[in-house]
Amino acid sequence: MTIDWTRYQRTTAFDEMINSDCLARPSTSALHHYLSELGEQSLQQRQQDANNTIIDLGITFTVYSDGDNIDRVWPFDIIPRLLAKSEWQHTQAGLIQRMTAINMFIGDLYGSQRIIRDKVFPAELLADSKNFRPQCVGMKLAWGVWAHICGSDLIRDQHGVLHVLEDNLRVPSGVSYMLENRLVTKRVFPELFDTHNIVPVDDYPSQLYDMLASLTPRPHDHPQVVLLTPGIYNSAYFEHLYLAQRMGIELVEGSDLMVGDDDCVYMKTIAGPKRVDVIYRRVDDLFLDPEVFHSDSCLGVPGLIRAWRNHRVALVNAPGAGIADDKVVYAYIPQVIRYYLGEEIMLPNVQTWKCLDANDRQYVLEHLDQLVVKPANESGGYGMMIGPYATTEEREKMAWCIRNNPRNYIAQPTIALSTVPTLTDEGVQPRHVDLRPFILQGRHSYVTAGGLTRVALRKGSLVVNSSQGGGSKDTWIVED
Amino acid sequence: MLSRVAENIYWMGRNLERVENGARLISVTKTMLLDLPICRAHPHFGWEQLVTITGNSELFHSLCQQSNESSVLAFLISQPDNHSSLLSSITYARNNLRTIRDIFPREFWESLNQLYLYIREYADNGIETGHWDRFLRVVIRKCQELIGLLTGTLSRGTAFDFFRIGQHLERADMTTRILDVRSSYLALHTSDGPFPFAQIQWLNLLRCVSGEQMYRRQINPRITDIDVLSFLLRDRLFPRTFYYCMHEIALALTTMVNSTHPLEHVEQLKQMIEESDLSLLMQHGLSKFMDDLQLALGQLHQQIATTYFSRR
Repeated sequence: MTIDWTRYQRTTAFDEMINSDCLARPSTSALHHYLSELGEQSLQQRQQDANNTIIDLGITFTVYSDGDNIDRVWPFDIIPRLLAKSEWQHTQAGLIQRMTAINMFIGDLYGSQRIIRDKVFPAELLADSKNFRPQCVGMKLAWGVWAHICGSDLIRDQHGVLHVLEDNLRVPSGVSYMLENRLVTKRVFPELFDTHNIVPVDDYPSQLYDMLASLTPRPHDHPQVVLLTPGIYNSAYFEHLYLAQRMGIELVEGSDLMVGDDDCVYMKTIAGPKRVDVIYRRVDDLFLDPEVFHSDSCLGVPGLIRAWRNHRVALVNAPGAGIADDKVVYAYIPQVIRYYLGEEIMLPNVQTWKCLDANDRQYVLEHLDQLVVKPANESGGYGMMIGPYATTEEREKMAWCIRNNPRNYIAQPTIALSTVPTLTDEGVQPRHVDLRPFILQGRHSYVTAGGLTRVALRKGSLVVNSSQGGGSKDTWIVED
Repeated sequence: MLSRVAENIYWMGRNLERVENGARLISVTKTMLLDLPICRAHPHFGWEQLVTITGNSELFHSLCQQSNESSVLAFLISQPDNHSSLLSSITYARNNLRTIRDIFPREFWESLNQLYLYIREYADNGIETGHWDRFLRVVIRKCQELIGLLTGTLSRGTAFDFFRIGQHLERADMTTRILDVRSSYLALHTSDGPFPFAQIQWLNLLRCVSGEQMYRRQINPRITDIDVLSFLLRDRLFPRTFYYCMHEIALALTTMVNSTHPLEHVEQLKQMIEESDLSLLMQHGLSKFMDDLQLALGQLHQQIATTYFSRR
């Protein structure tokens, strides 16, 4: 049974495979043809194979509200999502431009604050930022980089144009799923790799390791790089393990590390303490060092910030880098790029209203039923309200929150995220997606080939977070 | 290697070994009791001896009103409150491995995860009478597959050494437990002579460690109590005897840092075995001797933990 594309219920959003005439777009025609020939039954069979593979591989994630069940199987849709290589090359350049400017911005905020003196960025925003860390003031870092690893969320609007929706600079996650998705697709659709020229994603762990090693405070010795995890109950534990394994570095917990009298960091091994040079930490700033931040945290290492300030150890991302991971700061990125690089932004931002600004706030409060409202400092979709889908009660609650703490909220238009064909109970149907590429910055810059495509599996839903009914897809950058 | 990692590898080795030994013990006992209808309901010789071997009698009686085949099997296989049930052991092994997956070959995690899912599925749904044998066989086979996978693909470094230490310490411990419980009945003489079906019981002792075939070929085609006892404790060739387990632990420790004290303990254990007078022990004191061995194994564990796992 072949696929009947006339039953494909296109929405008003941009569909990345099927155009308004119900025909395949040129860059996706080979995949479209393949899927049509394969038919729906075989597709369902392959989806089953993929699910079994995922269960066997133990690819899991954690949802905090799910009690004792700390590993839920990763929901994966087998139909890959295609992006043309020419478009991707432009996107990569845009992401590197963005990260370069953001890193200069963070360094400036913890340094001479030129951008504030020149009145491009308001001083009061910095003063109330939850993510500004006074402990970082005056620090100079290797290669001038604070946010070494960034996961930026990209969305495609109804005209098919990619926008940056947000930058995750604290402890962005998802890259392991990108790598695992490719592995699963190779097992399930080996024949597609013959007919498509797909850019491999598999060098990410090597690139990550090289970047981390380039930060060692002892460049003449073999660097000891470790990954610091909060432990098995963290939602991204699978990824911590995966990356440590792929890089061949130690996966440590806070209790495995200590800071010596010489301010160096050591890990506790069966043969005694061993010096650590670079820590890829997947623990939030505030839990890193109980001497400086939350004194009751047992995830961190007492004295770690002291060791970092004395340049005895590199922390990745640097503490305080989250200052730029703030949805209000996001609104200023076009100006930030212009200010530091003298260039225009290559990848546009989504239009953003800042509730801090009286005019913007007025507009937001009057249009709550049309806008997406987000708290400035949350991630994972927590605390967010999608106006058109919210109840009156939810909207009233949000209005109260905004009036109470305007600095903490921004609003954006409800963008109908682009759709791609996805296997559902009703056959192949369009579902909304976003894309999270990962950008590395150390001595050099690197952008993943594609990234993690997250898909809202529920019909009509725009929420792609895995904790809220989202799944993922393998993402292919193909020669066009 | 991180102390925490070493500790998890060691416990994974122990837990995995516990799954295999546990499954074999149940399987062998079940087959044996089919031959011995009069024993089945007997409090000492029947099902309950399995609970006694695992050292959990008190817990068992607090959880189960009745002591019969189904209550004992459920307790040993799927009772989550029983920390040495198959389900608990495989869950612990998986949790151990979860924190140290970066050290082990990927296929190992896949296989261990499959075994966990397999046991959990049966534990959740209950096992039909006709499916027992197959279930236990699959569990044993999968454990062996896992050990084979490690033997074939894990570098002979510290990780492998800690795994071997955990595995062989658990194996030696199990051998002493089985001998302790079984032999205390076997050494009994009733007024009519030796304990009935003694030979079948000794034979099953061998089967509990998969040793029947090797014993018959290597030692004696006939099953005699003293030969079986000597084989299980002192044989140097069969890989599940007490002596062999100590030998493996010593080998693993030799190349390791700071191993002087743990090695001394292992040597003492070997000596205890070598110097014991087995025929005298058969007359009396075998159970006490097994208790002493278990105590010494406990001290060896303590020594290893203090040397390598403590994180001050």
